[in-house]
Amino acid sequence: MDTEARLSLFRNMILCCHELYLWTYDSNFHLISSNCPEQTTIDSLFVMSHRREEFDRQILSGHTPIIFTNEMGLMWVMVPCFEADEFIRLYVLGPFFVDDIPPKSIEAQLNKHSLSISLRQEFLRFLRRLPIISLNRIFEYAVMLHFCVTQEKITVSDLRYSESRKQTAGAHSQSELADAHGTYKDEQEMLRMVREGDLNYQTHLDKMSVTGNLGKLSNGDAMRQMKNTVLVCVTLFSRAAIEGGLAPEVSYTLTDHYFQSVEACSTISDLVDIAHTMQADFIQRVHRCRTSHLSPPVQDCCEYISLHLEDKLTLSQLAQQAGYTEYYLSKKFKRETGLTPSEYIRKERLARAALLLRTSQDDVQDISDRLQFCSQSYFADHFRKLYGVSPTEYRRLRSE
Amino acid sequence: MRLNPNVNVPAFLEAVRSCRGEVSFVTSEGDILNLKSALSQFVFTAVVAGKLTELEGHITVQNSGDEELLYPYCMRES
Repeated sequence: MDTEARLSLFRNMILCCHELYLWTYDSNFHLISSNCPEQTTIDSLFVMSHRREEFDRQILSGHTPIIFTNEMGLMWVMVPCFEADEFIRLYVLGPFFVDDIPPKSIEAQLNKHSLSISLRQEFLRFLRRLPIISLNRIFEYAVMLHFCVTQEKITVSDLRYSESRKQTAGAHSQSELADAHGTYKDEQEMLRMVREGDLNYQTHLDKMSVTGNLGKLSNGDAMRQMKNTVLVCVTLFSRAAIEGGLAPEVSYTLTDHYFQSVEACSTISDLVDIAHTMQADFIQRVHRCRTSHLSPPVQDCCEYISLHLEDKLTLSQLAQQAGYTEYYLSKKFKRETGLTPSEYIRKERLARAALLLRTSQDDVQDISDRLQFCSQSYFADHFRKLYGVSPTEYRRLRSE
Repeated sequence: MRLNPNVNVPAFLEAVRSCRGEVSFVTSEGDILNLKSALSQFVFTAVVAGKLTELEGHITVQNSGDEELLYPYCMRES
């Protein structure tokens, strides 16, 4: 079956369930064809939502589908088609909302404008014709459309996200209509993966059909809805991680960190990234706890150290965390790890420094200061002892 | 100024965005759509743009210097 045949079948099958239309654009974003009865109007809505340079950058930065949200919360799935790395076509599915928050928000905004009854009613009729489809279903359609175009199987985690510059209160959320909630079974499965430190969590997640809905966690503000969803996940995951063996203090510290990161987010893309990072973080830490040969108090110390590498760390603090005297902790730590606590802390700080040298453009002096080294020369000496080269040389070698 | 009934709506709204002052579309029924507002653009595109032939609406600009930017999208006054 060729691409056009697959797309035709896909288009017709989608229409069995929703008034959701397929659009084909050329590489200059001129419309080639669509099965939408209001082609001109909806095409205008799609095109005017994008800035061309930004659009090009998004499309060309990867080969996987993009889920795009415009300023009014209206969304599309965009699947680029490449031939020998040349962008030739863009297939678009949409438009749609993922819950009733954006259309209700638009209606509320409309009520503040003094528009004639006829114009208002005509616009509301148009708005109500736009389908509301759950985000989980949209993820599945995006994966299917990508397969139709490329014959390549991807997973939900391969999807990319993009939105117009300004997000109004009508932005999309991950909830569906308020009277339906998520399946308990899926929640329990996700918490199990955290509790067991299951490193194959991504494979399990991709196989799960994440059905159901998250409920109404906010009144009318879709970004707040998304944030509250992620915050709930952080809380649930942190408790599951404690049940899996992660020290409560470590888990609570992580929770604080992710709460602050979520609150500081201003875009859906960043929020999705934080959610993925948070999940991986909890699972990997629980995995380390469960597979470590270290005793729980020493393991807890190591986790505490990893979370506070940029803070002043003293043996007194660690002993207090572990509930031991400084003398006993120091002996136990050395026996189990082969290093004294201060040697371990220095080793971890040097490893963090190496990571920063590889992945950031931070000044060597800044890295040294941040990681609490008493001087740059002290930092550089110990770095060279461990890695064989100076910090500057390490960065240079890694960037080649 | 009256809009060309076959106006390229996205291009026209892009031109509106580059105007310095406010730009409004006024319908014959007295509706005023501030075309700098995302919601008004939505309403304009969804409902008004497809009916420019029937509607006797017109464009008004706050800053007279912006008229030049919008002339390419308007009908020539006889």
